[in-house]
Amino acid sequence: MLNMTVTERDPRPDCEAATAGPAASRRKVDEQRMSVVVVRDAETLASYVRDWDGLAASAIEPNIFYESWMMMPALRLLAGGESVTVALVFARDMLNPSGAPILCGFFPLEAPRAYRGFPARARRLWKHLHCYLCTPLIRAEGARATLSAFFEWLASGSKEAPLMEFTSIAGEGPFRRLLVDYLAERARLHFVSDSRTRPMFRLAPGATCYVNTALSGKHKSELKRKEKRLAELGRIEYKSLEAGDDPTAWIDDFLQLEASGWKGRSGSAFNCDEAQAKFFASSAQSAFREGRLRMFALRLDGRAIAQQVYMTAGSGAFAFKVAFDEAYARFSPGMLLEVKRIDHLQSNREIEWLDSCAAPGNYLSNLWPYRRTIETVLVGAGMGKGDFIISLLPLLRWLKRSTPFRRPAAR
Amino acid sequence: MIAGAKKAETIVETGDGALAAPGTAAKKMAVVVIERIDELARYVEQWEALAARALEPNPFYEPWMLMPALRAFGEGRKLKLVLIFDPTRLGSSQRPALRGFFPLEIKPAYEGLGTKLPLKTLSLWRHKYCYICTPLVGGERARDTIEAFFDWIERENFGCPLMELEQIPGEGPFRQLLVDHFNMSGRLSFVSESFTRALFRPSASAEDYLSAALPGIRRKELRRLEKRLSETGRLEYSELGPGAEVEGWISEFLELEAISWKGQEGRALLSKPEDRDFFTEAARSAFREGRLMMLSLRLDGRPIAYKCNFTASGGSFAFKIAYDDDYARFSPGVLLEVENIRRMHDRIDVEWMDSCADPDNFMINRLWPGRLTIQSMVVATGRMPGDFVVSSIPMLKWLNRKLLGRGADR
Repeated sequence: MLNMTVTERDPRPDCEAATAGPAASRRKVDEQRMSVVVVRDAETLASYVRDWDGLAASAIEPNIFYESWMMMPALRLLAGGESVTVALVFARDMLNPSGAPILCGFFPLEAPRAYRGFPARARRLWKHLHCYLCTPLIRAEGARATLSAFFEWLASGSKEAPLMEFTSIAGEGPFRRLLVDYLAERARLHFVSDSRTRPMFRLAPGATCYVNTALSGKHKSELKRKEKRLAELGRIEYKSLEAGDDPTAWIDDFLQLEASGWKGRSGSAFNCDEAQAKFFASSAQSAFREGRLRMFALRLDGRAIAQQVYMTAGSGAFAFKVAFDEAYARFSPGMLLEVKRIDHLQSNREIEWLDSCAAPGNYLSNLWPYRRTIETVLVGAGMGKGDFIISLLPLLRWLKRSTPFRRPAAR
Repeated sequence: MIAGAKKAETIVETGDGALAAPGTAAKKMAVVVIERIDELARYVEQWEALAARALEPNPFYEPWMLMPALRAFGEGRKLKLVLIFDPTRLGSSQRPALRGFFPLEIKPAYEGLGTKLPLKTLSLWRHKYCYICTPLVGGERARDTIEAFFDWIERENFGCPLMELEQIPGEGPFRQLLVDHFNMSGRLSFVSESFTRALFRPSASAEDYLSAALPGIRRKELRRLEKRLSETGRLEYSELGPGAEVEGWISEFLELEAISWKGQEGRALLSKPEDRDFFTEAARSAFREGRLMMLSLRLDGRPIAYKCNFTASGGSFAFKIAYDDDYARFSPGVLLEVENIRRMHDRIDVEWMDSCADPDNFMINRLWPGRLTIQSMVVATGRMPGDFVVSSIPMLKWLNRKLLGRGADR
């Protein structure tokens, strides 16, 4: 049994500011002494940024969408009327029990709301409009205890919210396995309400030219031909944002390029909404400062006609956004840039994997042979009511499909 | 059935080993169902070729292990071995390339709930020494193969409303294909069990691995145990080599296992003649194929710990371990596992080892920090009331627990 306390205020003693220095780098998680702090506003959360960044750097699994440089702008600009609470799991430092506790878990949650029309409320991991992965940040040291502490906290609030939805988490990898273990050891009822795959790029061993293996000969010569025809229109160049560059021009270029296409017309481009444009600019700027932003462009006479935005995390990266100029669609500028950039990744070997963040059926499916699974898992928070609803869900899914009045859910 | 999906045809065996012409439609796959082991022998060559190029390896479903298993444990079971061919491609010997191998058993009841549900269930065959049930699916046309299998299940389900995929990996390419197929076809599925077990993946060096996996105090203790053991006699680790006399190794392993606690409980391979025959035959053929790894710890030449693994396309599976209880205080099994970790770091042809252990195996969990998710899934075959039952299973599970207090602990 964990010695768990739930507090609503900062558990750090006043001497916290003095934790810098070599002594602070040697810390040890006390798995028996964990506590959960609930933060309800962005300003309070900002005061934890240093702990938070430290946690992100030693997490079992990276998630750029839940790192401070992306999450803080998202909370300020994309939360809208939603109230987002963050459950922070802290552990006592074994080597310095009276010192600052160690941040071990970061779970941003949407406020409990009725679950799909059931008379029961659910908490869920917060997923804003531009968030493509909700795997929570968990420190590698004491990871199991951290997840248990989170579940105990959920149970303490299960009257208010009998259900917990782990929305869009990685279906494979350390966090998912941790969750599998937790649920299996306690024989907890759970329901995988959604499971799908999306393309993933993995560095090929050795210096194999990736494109040579992924594309058919016909496809390759077709692309070559398009590139040649494009070059007849003007000077083409492939550029990448370098460390000494000013990212602002790149960011503005991207926003304009994106708004010029179907996303602009359908109102889903960043530039269609001031807050969203600010969110993109702000998170890209912070990513750049952290050395985590990668941008690539295909330019025709100096003007970008295709652009890609990546953000690195640990040994990999997330393909956050892409855009291209539809006036040049017949030359497949997005594809040309994609192929060039993959070869670049393959030769500079900076990252080992790249999550496409793409929806199923994306054109990358044919280009990238690997997949990653994204799942949504529903778990009871600790009360019988949650378990009962979970056991009913598949039956309702079946009823919904079998009733002649309702069409099967489009997927 | 979604529009435009390709239908697979069931091909009837013509008796002389040739497949009935599947028609000219290029997309079509051909399904052959085999019930008798002697019919299977004819396909061994194609089957081996498939295993060598499968998306995910499974030695338990390869001919050298499955044939002995069929002979030892197949008797009296309703087995349907499903072979999926690609008639558009000819393999070696000018026969259609084999793209999928799904050994199935028809069970009279669904047992995934802990209680028997009286519904006929098709299940991937899992005999008592089979630790993973990933079907063999070729890397080429893998999507079409999965689709052909489920299309076939929809039509030829032998009256079974449910299809169970027991003990398959919960991650990796096969599982991803299933996820895609279920989404695309709208087939209802339910993950009835999910757990993780220890998986070995090498670090930069054996010393790196051991110092990350074991606390210093534990490593020191193991060195002390090894030293104390070596004071009682000549200690040596040895491995079965390519030219070695395999029969001696097999019988030594069997005898050691028989005197261990497993033998005392009547659960050793030697406790039943069919189990012994299965192991002897499988180990012999594995050795012939260069797929058998055996490692022993000997004291004055006499084995006190044994480990037996099978390799498969870049990976390996820990099959059995045994040790002499008289030496339990020296932890000979753990010492041998540490030696195994060292040797695995020297092998470049084997990148990982699946422990095949229970999720809560304390010994191996302490030595191997990596994990692999294993799942059991149940899907509707397409026959009534499959969809309804798959959807009711969680409800039944809940009722089972509430009313009967069953299944709350594992």
